[in-house]
Amino acid sequence: MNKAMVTAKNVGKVYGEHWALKDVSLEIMPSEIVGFVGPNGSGKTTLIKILAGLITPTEGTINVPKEGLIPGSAGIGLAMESAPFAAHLSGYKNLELLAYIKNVISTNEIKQAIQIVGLNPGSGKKVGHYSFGMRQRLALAQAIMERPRLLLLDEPTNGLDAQAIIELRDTLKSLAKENGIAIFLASHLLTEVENVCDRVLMVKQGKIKKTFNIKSDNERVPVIVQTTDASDIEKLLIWLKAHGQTYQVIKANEVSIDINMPVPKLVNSLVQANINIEGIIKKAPTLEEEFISLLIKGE
Amino acid sequence: MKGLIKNELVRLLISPRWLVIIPAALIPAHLFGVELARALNFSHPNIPTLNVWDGFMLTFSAGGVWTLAYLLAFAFIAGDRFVGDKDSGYLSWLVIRADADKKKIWTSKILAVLIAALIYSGLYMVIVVGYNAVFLPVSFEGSQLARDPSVMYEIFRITTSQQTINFYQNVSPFIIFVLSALFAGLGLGAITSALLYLTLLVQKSFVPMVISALLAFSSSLFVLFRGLGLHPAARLNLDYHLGFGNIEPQMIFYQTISLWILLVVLSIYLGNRKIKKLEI
Repeated sequence: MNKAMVTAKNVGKVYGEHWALKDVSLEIMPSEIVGFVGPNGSGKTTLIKILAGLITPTEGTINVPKEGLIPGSAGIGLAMESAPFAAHLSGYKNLELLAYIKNVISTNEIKQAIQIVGLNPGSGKKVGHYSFGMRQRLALAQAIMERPRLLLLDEPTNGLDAQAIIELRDTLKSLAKENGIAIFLASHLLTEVENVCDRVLMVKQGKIKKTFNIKSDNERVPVIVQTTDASDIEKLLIWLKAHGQTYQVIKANEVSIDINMPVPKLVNSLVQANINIEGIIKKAPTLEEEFISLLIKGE
Repeated sequence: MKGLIKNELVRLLISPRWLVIIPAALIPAHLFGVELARALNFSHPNIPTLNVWDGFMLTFSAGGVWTLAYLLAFAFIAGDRFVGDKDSGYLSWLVIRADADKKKIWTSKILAVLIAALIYSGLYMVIVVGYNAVFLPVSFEGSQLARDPSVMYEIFRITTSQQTINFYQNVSPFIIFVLSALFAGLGLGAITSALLYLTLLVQKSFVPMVISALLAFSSSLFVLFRGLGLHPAARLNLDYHLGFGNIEPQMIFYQTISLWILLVVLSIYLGNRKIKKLEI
């Protein structure tokens, strides 16, 4: 099993008397994309800054990669919401300026990073004339150009059009898969987080309320079975009890089952038990539904 | 560290804000170089025609005015090296690439500002000489004022120190030019380092400009009261140390240079202590 790329144990950060983060523990594995969602002021940016070494946690411990995939490079790449490039320089020149610091990558590698994010490395266009979306892409290029092992992204899709969002999604997935980079991203766009992440941490008031494993949680969702009439419900309940299934009666002819078997097998078993089924629904709640029920309604 | 200094220096030098050096140098060069030299020749018809080097020296004889333009323009160019980077988020990119060692970042900022101050000072002096050369006779000989102390005495009606007379009589004007640029550049770098340190304490980008203006204004007042020669802005002027104009030398060079170096070292040391605890 791969060693975790990032480990945070019981991390907390207090400002005055207000805990911006409290008791946050997480591990991010190589190639894993982890999302961090929550309402404004929930501590997303604070956690990113702690992981990036910009601020020190009040309590807890952090382990992040010290070196990137290129020897001597920084272990972390960071793209924050703002992209503070020199407006009167081209995108390439801006990245070259940053590359001076470590001096571990070639001009070709800088150009490659610009290409990956869908910009033209040969363009002399000044960043001051870039659209917001182009600046965001360039910020991502600066974050990945030195091949970090951990990529920290704060609102990476802000200002991007639909096509750019799709391209960014593919870029992030391939960076994670092909280079083993761990990606941690904070975003307000729940659909995007759901589409790109393997795991999502839902935070509220600085605490992780729930970890949502996109793939495995979707595999294990309740199945709603509708029977033809009430007599079938009775037979169904007897069958469920006999098979040790957890259930909840929703309506006179509708039961929600926390099923632990594949749906075709369930259907087959119910038919064999002579239960008349009107319909079966298996639908995972979307991240947005989870977000609303957990973080807004507080259920 | 070398990479950080290069990044800082390049970002500083490519800033369009450097254009401000043109009016900052031309205004004192015109008012206190060209115009004053013409006025002196007009009011003292018996003295020889003043040349470009007289114009150069006269430009820097008006302590308050040239230091105001000189300090203020550089504070505008370099005064927000810390606050600007912090507010924009650029500092976070630097921290990551400096392996979270904020002390390295601070030291490189101060050293880059020091180098930029020397470049700025050289450019400033070139503009002043260039402008004076357009309107006053160009000469490879030294200043008339310097070569003949009686001329200087007639103009300024003061006792000019022997040190000044010896210096100007025996040194090429080009050497004086280079020394002035280096000396004022070092002083400027030292003052700006201290101002940058202040921005660590009060994180507002206008602080260096306000303090620079106050330094320059107070400089002319201090110059009037000659006993207060320790004032840093007044001491930026090489001529001030030589007793040129109406001031006797208050301190000799090496003490002033030591003061500048001490300011730079203190700014680095205190800044390092402060920045390592600073949250970005």
